[in-house]
Amino acid sequence: MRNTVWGVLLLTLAWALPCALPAPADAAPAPGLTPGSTPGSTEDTAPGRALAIQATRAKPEVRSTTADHGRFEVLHFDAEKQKTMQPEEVTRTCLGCHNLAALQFHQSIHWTWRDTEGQPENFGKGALSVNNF
Amino acid sequence: MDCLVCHEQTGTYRKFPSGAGYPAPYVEDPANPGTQKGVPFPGESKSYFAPDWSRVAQSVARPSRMNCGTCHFYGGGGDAVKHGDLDSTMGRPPKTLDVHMGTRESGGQDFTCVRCHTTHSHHIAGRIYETPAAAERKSLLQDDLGDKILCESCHGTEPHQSGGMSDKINDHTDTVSCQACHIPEFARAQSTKMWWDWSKAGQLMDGKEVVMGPDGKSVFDRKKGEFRWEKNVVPEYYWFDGTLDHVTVADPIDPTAEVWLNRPQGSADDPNSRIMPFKVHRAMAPYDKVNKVMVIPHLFPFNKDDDTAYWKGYDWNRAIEVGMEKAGQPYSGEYGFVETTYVFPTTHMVAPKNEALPCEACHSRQSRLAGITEVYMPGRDTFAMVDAAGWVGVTGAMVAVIIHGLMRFVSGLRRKEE
Ligand code: HEC
Ligand code: HEC
Ligand code: HEC
Ligand code: HEC
Ligand code: HEC
Ligand code: HEC
Ligand code: HEC
Repeated sequence: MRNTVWGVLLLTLAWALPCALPAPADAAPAPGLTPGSTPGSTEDTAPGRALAIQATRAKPEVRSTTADHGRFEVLHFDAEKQKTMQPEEVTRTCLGCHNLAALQFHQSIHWTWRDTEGQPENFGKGALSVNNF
Repeated sequence: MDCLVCHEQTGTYRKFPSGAGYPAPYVEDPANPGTQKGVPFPGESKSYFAPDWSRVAQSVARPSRMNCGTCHFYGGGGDAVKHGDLDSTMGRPPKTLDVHMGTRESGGQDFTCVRCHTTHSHHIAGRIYETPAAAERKSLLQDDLGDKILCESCHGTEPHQSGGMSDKINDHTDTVSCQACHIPEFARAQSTKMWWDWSKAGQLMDGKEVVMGPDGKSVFDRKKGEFRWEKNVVPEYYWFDGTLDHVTVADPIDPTAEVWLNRPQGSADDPNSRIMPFKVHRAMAPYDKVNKVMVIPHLFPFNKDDDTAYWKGYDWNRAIEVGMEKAGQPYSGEYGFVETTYVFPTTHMVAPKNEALPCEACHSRQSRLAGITEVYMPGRDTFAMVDAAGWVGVTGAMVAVIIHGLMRFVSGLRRKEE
C-alpha cells in the first residue's frame, strides 16, 4: 500500500518537474532574444518617431499658393473646341505661363523613358531593357 | 507631353486603354444632344468619355497619390500586375495598409507620393536603374533640404527606443533594411501577379479566350497566357545597395537556368547594403534559341491590318522578328521559352509598428532569411533553443530519476526497519 502511494507521488514528481521549469516552446526565441521591456510602454520616447514628427511638421502640409487656375481665362476653353481638343493643346496653354516646365521635364525619366544617369543608350522602357510582363 | 496626368484633381481625366496616351474622342449621344455617348473598350464594362478640358485644366494642383497612381498602380498592363506594394488600394488606404499614406481617419499620415519622392524642378527622387535613390543615409537633421526618399531621412538610423529589446532592434539597422521588418507581407489589400506563362498564349483554355479566377482577375487570356495571383505574399530577401542590374536584349543569357532579368546588387561586406524584401515575379518568356538572348516581341498592332503584331496574328515568330527589328537587334528565327525572374524592391505598404516582423520570423530554423548565409544569426544557425528545450527535458528527467532513486532507497530502508 505504502509503495503505491510513493509510486504515484514519484511519478507525479517526475512528470511535473520538467514542466515546472521554464521550458521554452520550440518557436520561442533563443536565450538573449527574449523581449526585455514591453514595447510601446514608453510611447513617445522612440527617437525615430520624434524625428519623423519634427521632419514632417517643419514643412506645412498644405502649401500656400497665390494662383487660382479656375480664374485664368486661357483655361476656359470654348465648348465647341473642347470636342476636338487634344492634351498637347492644354499643355501648350500651361507652358504659356510655366515657361520652364517643358525644359525641366524633358530631362527627367518621365519624358525620356530612359535611364537619365548611367546608361541611357541601354536602360529604360524606351531602350533595350526587358522585363517579363 | 501631358501636364494633366500629374496635376489635374478632378479624377475624371482618363486615357483610352489602347489610345497611346490619348483620352477617348468626343462622341455625341444621338438620343441626348449635347451629351456624350461614350466609347466602349472591348472586355470592359464601362465606357470612356472625352474629358471636360476646362474643368480638368482649371483643377490643377500639386500631384496627389491618384495622379502618380494613374500609371504606377497599373504598371504591367493592369491593377497590381507589376508592383506588389503599389496598386489602386493605395489611393485611399487605411493605416493598416500603409502607415504613411493611410488616411487621417484611420490614423495614418495621408502622405502624397511626393512627400517622400522629393521633387526639384520636375526631377522626382527615386532609384533609376543603376543609380540608387540616395547615395547616403542622411537624416533631415544632417541635411534639411535633402531628399526624403529613405526611411532614415525622416526616422534616423536608430529609430527605436534605447534599452531593453528595442535596443537590440537598433543593432540591426546596419544590416537589415527598415522595410524587411516593417513590411512583413505585401499585396495585403488585393492580390498581385506572381507568375505569368507567355508560352500558353495563343491557345484557348477550356475553349475560352479569357478565364477568370476566384478573385475576379483573369488567370488565362489568349493574348497573354496563364497567370497566378497571390495575396499577403511573404517577400524574398536579398542584399541590396539600392541598385539593380539589368539584362538587355543585347546581353547573352544561360537558358539552362532561371534567367534573372534584373538582379539586386549588394553584398554582406558592403557597408551600404542591407537585407531588403523583394517581390519576385516569375515568368516563362520568349528568347532567341540560337543567339541566346531575350527578345522583345511586337504585341500591339500598329494599325488595323498589322497582323505581324502578336495580339492580332498570334504568330510569335513574326512578332519577334518585327519587335527585334524595331529595337535594332538581330533575330535568328528560332524562339523558345525560358523561366525568368523580375524583382521589385518592396518599400511601400509599411505596416503599423505592432505588426513588425517578430524576432522568430528570422531567428528560428524556419527563418525567412534562410537564403542569407553570410551572417551569423542566433536561433537560426545554432539550434540554441531546440537544444535548450531538449536540455531542460533531459535535466528534468535526470532530477526525477535521482529523486525517484532516493525515495526508493529511503522507503527501502523504512521497509527494512519494519
Ligand atoms: C495664366 C498663367 C497660368 C496658366 C495658363 C497656368 N498656370 Fe499654373 N500657375 C500660375 C502661377 C502664377 C502659379 C504660381 C502660384 C504660386 O506660386 O503661388 C501657378 C502654379 C501652378 C502649380 C503649383 C500649384 C501649387 O499648389 O503650388 C501647378 C502644379 C500648376 N500651376 C500647373 C499648371 C498646369 C498643369 C497648367 C495647364 C493646365 C497651368 N498651371 C496653367 C499661372 C498659370
Ligand atoms: C510625372 C508627373 C508630372 C508631370 C507630367 C508634370 N509635372 Fe509638374 N510637378 C510634378 C511634381 C511631382 C511636382 C512637385 C510637387 C511638390 O513638390 O509637391 C510638380 C510641380 C509643378 C509646379 C510647381 C512648381 C515646382 O516646380 O514645384 C508647376 C508649376 C508644374 N509642376 C507645372 C507643370 C507643367 C506646366 C507640366 C506640363 C508641361 C507639368 N508640371 C508636368 C509632377 C509632374
Ligand atoms: C504618365 C504615366 C506616369 C505618371 C503619371 C507618373 N509616372 Fe513615374 N514613371 C513612369 C514610367 C513609365 C517610368 C519608368 C521609365 C522607365 O523605366 O524607362 C516612371 C519612373 C518613375 C520612378 C523611377 C523608378 C522606376 O521605376 O524607374 C519614380 C520614383 C516615379 N516614376 C515616381 C512617380 C511619381 C512620384 C509620380 C507622381 C508625381 C509619377 N511617377 C507619375 C510613368 C509615370
Ligand atoms: C514613406 C515614403 C514613400 C511614399 C509615401 C511613397 N514612396 Fe515610392 N518609394 C519610397 C522609397 C524609400 C523607395 C525606394 C527607393 C529605392 O529604390 O531605394 C520608393 C520607390 C518607388 C518606386 C520605384 C519602385 C521600384 O521598383 O524600385 C516607384 C515607382 C515609387 N516609389 C512610386 C511611388 C508612388 C506612385 C507613390 C504614391 C502612391 C509613392 N511611391 C509613395 C518611399 C515612398
Ligand atoms: C517624409 C518622412 C517619412 C519618411 C521618408 C518615412 N516615414 Fe515613417 N513615419 C513618418 C511620420 C510623420 C510618422 C508618424 C509619426 C507619428 O506621429 O507617430 C511615421 C511613422 C512610422 C512608423 C510607425 C507607424 C505606427 O504604427 O504608428 C513606422 C513603423 C515607420 N514610419 C516606418 C517607416 C519606414 C519603414 C520608412 C521607409 C520605407 C519610413 N517610415 C519613411 C514619416 C516618414
Ligand atoms: C529587426 C527588425 C526591425 C528593423 C530592421 C527595423 N525595425 Fe522599426 N520596429 C521594429 C519593431 C519590432 C517595432 C515595434 C516597437 C518596438 O518594439 O520598439 C518597431 C518600431 C518602429 C517605429 C515606431 C517606434 C515607436 O515606438 O513608436 C518606427 C518609427 C520604426 N520602427 C522605424 C524603423 C526604421 C526607420 C527602420 C530602419 C532604419 C527600422 N524601423 C528598422 C522592428 C524593426
Ligand atoms: C528581418 C529578419 C530579422 C528580424 C525580424 C530580427 N532579426 Fe536579429 N538578426 C537578423 C540578422 C540578419 C542578424 C545578423 C546581423 C549581423 O550580423 O549584423 C541578426 C542578429 C541578431 C543578434 C546577434 C547580433 C547582434 O548584433 O547582437 C541578436 C541578439 C538579434 N538579432 C536579436 C533580435 C531580436 C531581439 C529581434 C526581435 C526584436 C530580432 N533580432 C529580429 C535578422 C533579424
